[in-house]
Amino acid sequence: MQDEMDVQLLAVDPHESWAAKALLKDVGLTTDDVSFPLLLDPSLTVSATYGVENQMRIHIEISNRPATFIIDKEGVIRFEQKGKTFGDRPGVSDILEELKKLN
Amino acid sequence: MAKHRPEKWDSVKAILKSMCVLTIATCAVTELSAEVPAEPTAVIAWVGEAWTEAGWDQTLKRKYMRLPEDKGWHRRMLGMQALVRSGEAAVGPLAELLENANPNMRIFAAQTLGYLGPLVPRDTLGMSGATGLKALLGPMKTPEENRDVKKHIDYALLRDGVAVKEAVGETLLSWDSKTIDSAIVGEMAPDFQLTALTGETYKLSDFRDKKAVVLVFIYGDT
Repeated sequence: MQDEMDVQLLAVDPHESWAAKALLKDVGLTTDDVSFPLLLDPSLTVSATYGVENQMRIHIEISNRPATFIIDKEGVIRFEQKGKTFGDRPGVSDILEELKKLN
Repeated sequence: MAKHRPEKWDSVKAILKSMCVLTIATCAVTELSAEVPAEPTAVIAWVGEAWTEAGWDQTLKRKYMRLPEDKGWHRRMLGMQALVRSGEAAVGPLAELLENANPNMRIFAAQTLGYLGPLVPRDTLGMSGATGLKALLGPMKTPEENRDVKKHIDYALLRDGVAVKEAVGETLLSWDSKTIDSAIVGEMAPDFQLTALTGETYKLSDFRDKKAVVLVFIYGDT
């Protein structure tokens, strides 16, 4: 999807590297399996700037609210969805639909 | 103990819930203009006023998400930065906060000490001998009954040493707090630089040649 549509996917994980690695291992992946940058924000500063930080309690952690932003070629935010529950995210088809609108 | 009538109790809860929502809405309005106090004890009180139990979405089972309109997390983040900036002066008040009745505040104390620990001189934290954060937090763990607080003490202890490659505390200190909650549809996306798990550093603005960037915040359940 990324190459074909000329779109870059970036993921922001609120953990330190040891925890992010443990997470990948848990789901049976290694860093080589991830085709997009998995960015680490353990100080939660980027998460705070984007308004998602410290808003969800998951098991024992206080973590980020799940959220998706689409940013256009000019660097303008064109879409945002901040989740109200943990599964509350746009699906792939919703994102593709939003990307089409950018033409 | 007298039994209460369930239907009556439910209506009382409903009223209380609507009051909570109102309080939060008022809080969110006054919050944004508020300045972070200078003294560590005042910072802790300021965080405590906004980071309340009522800010969790009471309609969700296990109340795991903050209400979207609740901005208590602003004070939590700004307060944490201010306390880390205070350095040694914040250690005593945070140690005291570890014994607070409210587990949300005990977690806040453990987390802040975790950021602060590696930045302050060892002898500030070591009670007898320079054993650092461990001397302060270690004894707190055993009597702690709340599983969440216990885990945060673990995290803080893990941070206090070689486990952390990213300079978490320094990044928090150098963060421009004026940018908090500044991502708005129709406006420029705040630029940032982060290191990927694979070690490369990326900026959002590196991807301007792409038609679009899809930026996904994951919570990484570990």
